[in-house]
Amino acid sequence: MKKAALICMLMVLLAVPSHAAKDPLKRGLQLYKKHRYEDALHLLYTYLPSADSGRQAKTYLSLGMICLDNANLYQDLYHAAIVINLDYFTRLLSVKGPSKSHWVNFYLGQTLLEAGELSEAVAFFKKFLADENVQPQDKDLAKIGLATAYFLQDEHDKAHDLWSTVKQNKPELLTSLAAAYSRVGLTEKKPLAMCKSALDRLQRAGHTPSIQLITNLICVYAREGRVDEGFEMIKQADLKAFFHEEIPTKNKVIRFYDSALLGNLSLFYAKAALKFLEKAHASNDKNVNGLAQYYLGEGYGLFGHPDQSMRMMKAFISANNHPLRLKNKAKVRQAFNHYLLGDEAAAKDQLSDLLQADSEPNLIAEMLLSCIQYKFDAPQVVIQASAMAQRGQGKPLSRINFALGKYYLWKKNYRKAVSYMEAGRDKSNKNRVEFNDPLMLVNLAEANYRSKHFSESLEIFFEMSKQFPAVRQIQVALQGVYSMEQKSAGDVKIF
Amino acid sequence: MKRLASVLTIFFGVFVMLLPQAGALTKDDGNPNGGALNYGEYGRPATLDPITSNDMIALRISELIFNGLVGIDEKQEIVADLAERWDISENGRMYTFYLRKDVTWHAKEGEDPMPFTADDVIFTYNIMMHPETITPLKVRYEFIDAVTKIDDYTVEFTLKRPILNALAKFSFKIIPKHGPQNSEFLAREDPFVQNPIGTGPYLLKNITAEREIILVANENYFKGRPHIDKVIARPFADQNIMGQALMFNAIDMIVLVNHRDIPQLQGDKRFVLQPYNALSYSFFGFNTRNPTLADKRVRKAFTYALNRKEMLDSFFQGQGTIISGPYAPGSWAYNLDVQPLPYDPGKAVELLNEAGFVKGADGIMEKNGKKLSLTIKVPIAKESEAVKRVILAFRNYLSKIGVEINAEFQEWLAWKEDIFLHHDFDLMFASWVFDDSADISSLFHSAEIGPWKNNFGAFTNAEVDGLIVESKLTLDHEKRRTINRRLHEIIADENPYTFLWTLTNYAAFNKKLRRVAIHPYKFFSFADDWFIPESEQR
Repeated sequence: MKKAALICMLMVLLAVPSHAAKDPLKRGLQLYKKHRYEDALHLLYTYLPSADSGRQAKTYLSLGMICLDNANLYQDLYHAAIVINLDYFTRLLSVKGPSKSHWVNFYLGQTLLEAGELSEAVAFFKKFLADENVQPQDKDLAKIGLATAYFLQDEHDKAHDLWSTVKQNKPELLTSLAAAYSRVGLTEKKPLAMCKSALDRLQRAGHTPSIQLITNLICVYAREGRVDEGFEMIKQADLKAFFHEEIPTKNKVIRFYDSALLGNLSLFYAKAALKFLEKAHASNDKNVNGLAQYYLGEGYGLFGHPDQSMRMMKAFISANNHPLRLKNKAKVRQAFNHYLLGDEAAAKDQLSDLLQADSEPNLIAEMLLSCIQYKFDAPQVVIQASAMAQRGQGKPLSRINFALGKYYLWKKNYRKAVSYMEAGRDKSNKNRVEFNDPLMLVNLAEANYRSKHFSESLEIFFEMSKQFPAVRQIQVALQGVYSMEQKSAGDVKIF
Repeated sequence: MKRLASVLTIFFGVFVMLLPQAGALTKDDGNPNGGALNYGEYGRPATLDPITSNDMIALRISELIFNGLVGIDEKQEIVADLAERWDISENGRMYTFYLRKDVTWHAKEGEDPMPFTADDVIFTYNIMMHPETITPLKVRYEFIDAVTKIDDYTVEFTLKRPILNALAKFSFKIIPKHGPQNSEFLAREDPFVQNPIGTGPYLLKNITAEREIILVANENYFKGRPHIDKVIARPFADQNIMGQALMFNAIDMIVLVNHRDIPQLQGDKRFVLQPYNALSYSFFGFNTRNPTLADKRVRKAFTYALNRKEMLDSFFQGQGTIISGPYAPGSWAYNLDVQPLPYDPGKAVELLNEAGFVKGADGIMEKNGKKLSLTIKVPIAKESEAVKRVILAFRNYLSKIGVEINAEFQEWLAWKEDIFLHHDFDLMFASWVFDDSADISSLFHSAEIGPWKNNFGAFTNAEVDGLIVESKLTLDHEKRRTINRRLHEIIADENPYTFLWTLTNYAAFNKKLRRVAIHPYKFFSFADDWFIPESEQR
């Protein structure tokens, strides 16, 4: 389906004469086609100010499309990170005695907060705060987390009381507080101004931002729609940095990473996508405008605005000049917009009509992926997808195999999940994002992890980290679980 | 009447043949027995026993012939094997194994099968640890203090100290007391190493003149007779020919698919391509007994001189990952912060100059009048087209910085003797494969220098020795992980090897083989459950 959209996009671009090798827009789209989203975004975002008015709209559209995919990717990375980090921290917690970790309680609290397990998060934050071995100045971070959990449990007074005790003398603390306010919607606390003040302080001291600070800023910038500041921050950041290093005894170093970074990146790219697409949609170029309409429909739907999505998709479907494949995909989105707006029957009818009218594998795959996203059980879609997947392996059926793999991952049938996604994988280039949809790779890595095929999972993340360095937030925890779970004798052989 | 008698005799004969053999155990999974599995190997093993062998080909064979006290199932959990249960003392130092009483050794022709007992376990341990037994296993089992026979079916191991993952280490394969000729130690001259007897699902029938290893189903296998009647390991010196053999149905399975064949196999509906993540990597090893190569600067210069990415892309279609140190990237021990040295021939020349080498009139580096000319030894079993190209490229890259390299391709066994026994080499090309434990102690600890030991390049570093010992002593997973990260860092800097890449591993097999699960390291661990539908047996 992405291929169809890319073809449309390239056609739009070809309407303007240019030198392919030198044209940043075309190079950006080529990078996008190879799933090198970060490289593509960097190139196009840098190019944007110098683009003439004719190409600016196309650049906005390209940026919007890429941000949309990047947001989806980081969303799945975020989910995988929560699962794996929780497993790792839980195992760390079982170590008792003088070499035990004290910070593990804090990071368990943080991860549980991200996972929405609020009462459990509260318990671990409290344990961290009660730990006499933790320095008082380190406890402020936990207070912010604990207060956030209280707030999300509707204990607002308790939350405000606790937040008010946090010392705001360090940029990390100030931005953590700003991110917490932003997250729970307390815009009157002026989180953006707090971030600015923290950055000024940092600059005066001549320090570079820590990963904690960067994560907080991305959170605030995303929620405030500050795309330019966010891009600038991400460009400069080392996203594979660890959040905290603890050395309980000699030769024992524990490095903590936080899945919140991946969640914030997802949110940021989602917001950026909508912003870029809105600009592209305002263009006078009919082709750009049409494609932007479709992607805005997707974006609004994905990021919680089904009513806006419905308006966009309605307009897109009713126009005459769009390819049928994209129109059908828009109809899938419409079906789920109905569902999200409470009309399940309309959603089912629309999906049923589509199933009867079009048996194109990629469309069925999109239906199934949407079902998974919204936890919408549609047995007919699964049956039809399974029948299609029987036709074999390879590229043409890659998307349907991915969708089925993701479906079985959701259903916790990990063996089937791995088997389907394996069938969808380009075996000649098994882990490379240039040849495999990184979204599929993340899900395959998670299915492998849950099947205890740890090294398979690590290899996928290792390759992905070359393009998406924030994947480090998962890798180290995965290595930790693997080291504790592996049961091998210690053998090595010459090959 | 005579005719009727003949018919009855034939009928009775056929009836008897159809009956399971006396004492034969069948699996109750409902899958049929019969058929043969021909699989392609990329060489032939030097020995077939689990103690003296140190290559993957022999490991795969011994997985079919032998059992350990414990095994590992498909979910990576430790399960009972020759021991039906065990107790571990509270202090973690005493492991008591209660052995199965229904296990017999493969019987030699005309002999009754002999029972497996505690004596065999003690014999295996003693022979493995005997100073004159040449085995890479010794270093793994130095943590055992004593083994005691409690009775015929109970053995007790006393550990010097509790260690991490001790139970998994009791998966070492047990050999029979009545097997080797020499009951004290196991030498490579002992007939047992070529004609082993085990308890496993398959027994060795014979080795043909073409060096095919023929295994047949053990009718008395204690877990039930394996489904497939016969397993034949066929050696192929050239991986390209192995791929063709599969495609023309001459063999049914390839344990490691040549990367060039992957696209074709992926598109062929007759075959299944199954990834299995063996933790492996390829490297150029340096013999530090050579004074020139004892200099770290020279070793590093060689690494800087190679464009590994170009080699990987050109010769392996980019199907792998450049590595920076002694672990595979899929391992928990890989230090993600250590980056591979970049391709930088200028830096390589600079390092050689620092080490006292200057370019002579013929363009070759020399020091004190002696040219920098070295020999690389490569096993012929590795002489696939891609490996040949790697060696040629290696020579070319090094010639660009003024180093002369002579490549010597050797027959597999001769190569192993030169590298592991005589240490007669300057440079060598090979690959290591690890199980999940990422134990590099036998590769880089100075106590592992000696005949048939894995530290063939005589690498010595006091900090590495200390860290390896500390990692073995600790009971803390995170501490061991920290130590491994540090080991990665030091070894990457010391450069005892030029670490190259880890390649993706695929097995390929004909779809007639069913219920195929592959152990990522030992490969055939679950092969007794594999089967071929009757309609496809030939």
